Amino acid sequence: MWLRRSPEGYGGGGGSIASSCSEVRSLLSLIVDHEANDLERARAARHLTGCASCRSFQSFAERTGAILHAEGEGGGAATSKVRHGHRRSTSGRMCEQDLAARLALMIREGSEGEERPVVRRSAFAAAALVAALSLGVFIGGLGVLTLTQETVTDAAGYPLGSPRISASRTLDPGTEVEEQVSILATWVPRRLADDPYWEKWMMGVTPMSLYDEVHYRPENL
Amino acid sequence: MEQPSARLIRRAARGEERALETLVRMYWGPIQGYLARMVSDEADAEDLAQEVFVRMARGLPDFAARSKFTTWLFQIAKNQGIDFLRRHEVERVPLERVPAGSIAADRPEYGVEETELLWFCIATLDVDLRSALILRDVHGFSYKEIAEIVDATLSTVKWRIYQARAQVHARYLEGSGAGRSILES
Repeated sequence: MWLRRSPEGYGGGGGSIASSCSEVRSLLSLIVDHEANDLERARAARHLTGCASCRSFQSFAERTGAILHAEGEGGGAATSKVRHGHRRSTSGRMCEQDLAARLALMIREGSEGEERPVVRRSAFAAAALVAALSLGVFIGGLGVLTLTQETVTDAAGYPLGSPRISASRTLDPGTEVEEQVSILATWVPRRLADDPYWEKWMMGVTPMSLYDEVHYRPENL
Repeated sequence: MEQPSARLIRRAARGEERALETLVRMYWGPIQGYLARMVSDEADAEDLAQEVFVRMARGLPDFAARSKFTTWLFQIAKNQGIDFLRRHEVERVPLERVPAGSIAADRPEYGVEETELLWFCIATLDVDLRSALILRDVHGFSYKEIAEIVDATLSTVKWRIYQARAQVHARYLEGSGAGRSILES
């Protein structure tokens, strides 16, 4: 039993009032939520007739419940659209359709491509790797960012889904402190030259910890 | 809270984009709202909500409908929120980080100050108490469903909701002087 009945019972005088009120308020919490039984409701009712403090607690619980319930009816948040991208990125917003597309791709490929049938580094991936390495030198002030990219292909060499990109960032080239960064790319240009925002965005990537995920999606899609 | 049809879940589990989009549209608001109240940051909540839907998609093929879909989804969200708070070691937040409620403008019968003070009091609660109160009062889950979501006994849920209300009540009275707005209404 989670409730303790005080030896003084309800509505007692002197020092017993606090524990009695505490016990009744726990009942009132159940009553507000329609989770109390008849006996519990009767106990509370007897106490409430002589306790203004507990009546105010009940009013408070009922009114706050109404306020919070209204919050839930309103969707529970000021922002109702899916926002795409890490908050420190500049990748803009993503609609429900984009997230659904990503989820659908993930289901079809199976757990983010962990068990992919054919994985090989394509010519496209190699090109991206070279470009990324030069980018790492470019952002030397923030450490060296090294990207590797793998593209899943079918038997004919045709890319399946978005390329998978992993990155490690050496925070201080003088030490061996490395930070693994996960980059989830819903879309990656076939060649970096196709999308001038890609490189610009990559330069702005400043994941704060190895738990951060950085998302990219071009503005024009 | 509205439940998706079994057919919709089956279609989503097969990776049908339209079905997944429907699920995202149905539950993005509640999940993001719940997480925003849990972590007290809307941007973090949006990131976490995306991760919740990613995990939902991963788990859909194995979802056996042993529980309600919404209970399962909120269970994922709760775990994401708790993990986030543990990583960032933030369980108590200052007032300015509490996301502004959206209801004050829509529901003029509830004052802005009253609503903000209420949310401030809730934000200072221990995360377990806060989570239970939000699941009950904001999202309308039953005690039994909350017990399933937070993986606790029914008695624990009753105690947490009562404790949450008692602490919010006390802090509200401190914060509002006499607690005029709520108590006199």
